[in-house]
Amino acid sequence: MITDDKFSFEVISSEDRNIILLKGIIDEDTNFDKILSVDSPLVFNFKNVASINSCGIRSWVNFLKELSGKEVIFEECPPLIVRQMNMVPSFVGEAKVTSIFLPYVCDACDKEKHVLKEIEELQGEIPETMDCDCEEKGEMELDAHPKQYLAFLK
Amino acid sequence: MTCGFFSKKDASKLIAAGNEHIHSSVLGKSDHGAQSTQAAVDKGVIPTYSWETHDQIQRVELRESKERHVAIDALFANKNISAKRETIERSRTVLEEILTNAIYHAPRRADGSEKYRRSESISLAKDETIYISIASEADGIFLSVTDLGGTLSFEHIRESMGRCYGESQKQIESKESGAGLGVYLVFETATHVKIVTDPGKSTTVSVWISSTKTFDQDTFSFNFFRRGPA
Repeated sequence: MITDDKFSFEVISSEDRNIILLKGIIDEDTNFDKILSVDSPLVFNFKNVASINSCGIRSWVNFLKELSGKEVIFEECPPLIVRQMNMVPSFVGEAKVTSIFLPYVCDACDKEKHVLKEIEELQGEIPETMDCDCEEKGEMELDAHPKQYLAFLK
Repeated sequence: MTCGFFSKKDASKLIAAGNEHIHSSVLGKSDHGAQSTQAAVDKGVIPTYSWETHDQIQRVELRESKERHVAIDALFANKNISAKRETIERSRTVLEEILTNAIYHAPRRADGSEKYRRSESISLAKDETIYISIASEADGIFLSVTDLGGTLSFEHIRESMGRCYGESQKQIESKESGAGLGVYLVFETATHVKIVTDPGKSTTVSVWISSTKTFDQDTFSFNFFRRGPA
């Protein structure tokens, strides 16, 4: 595991790919250089990224350029990463996004939930509601704009 | 002032062309905010918009750059700040950008050059203290950051808009800080942006971030005001 005060990553290697678990805050202090030596295919798991700012985005985009020619996959992207992918297309670059979290809120019990979905499973459309498991048997609504949320796929 | 109903990309072109007051709404000139701006511009005063007035505003001061994440965490953990996670995350993004800009770009030396670099962990002097205000309502979050530098210029905003919307790839690839990506993220994420600068004295950036449910990408405003002699 490579770590600084705010950011760390861990590489989990399997036969056919290396999963890089990113964790913490990506900002002006984040250095991705040590990931450059990891063999592809590289699967970046964003599940535990807490926040990213404009300097972090710039570092990431420049880092991604260094990976040019390698197979890069993004998985388990939380809404904060999906937002960056939608606002800054080069945040994804040539990478393939395989799964994202969808944010839902129950109007009955106020519970909030991030639901992991495979991109292939979505087929370009996001379910706008889902049942909540609360006592009130409420309906969870997507806390995002369904059309804008998948804009990065275009 | 320019009123209409357009995308933020179109608005960015108007700002890059020199428009300091932009209102986008289906109501056009009948929009209340647009009317407030027009009346204020006509009188030469700075308006207070409805989204800036709240009963319970939390205020904090910041002088240590490395404490900004802790300060942001504490602000949004306050029991008076109530919003859905997505709205809070969007608000955090906006606050971090405005705050970082205030910490690193507002303080200047006598020759006008920036005093601090983003790679540095810094302690601001007392007369460089940054003041943060935050309030939440059912339909969104209000944020305001005041620095005592008064160095943010409309020219900087214009350049940032031109770079980020016009030449985004070039912009993102820049290795330098302060290249405008933060301005782009704030403008893209916030619903209303108001900047009041008193050159050499202070800059206040105030924003309204609509809750995800009420957020409409094409309803927004941008206003830049400067105090003192034109």
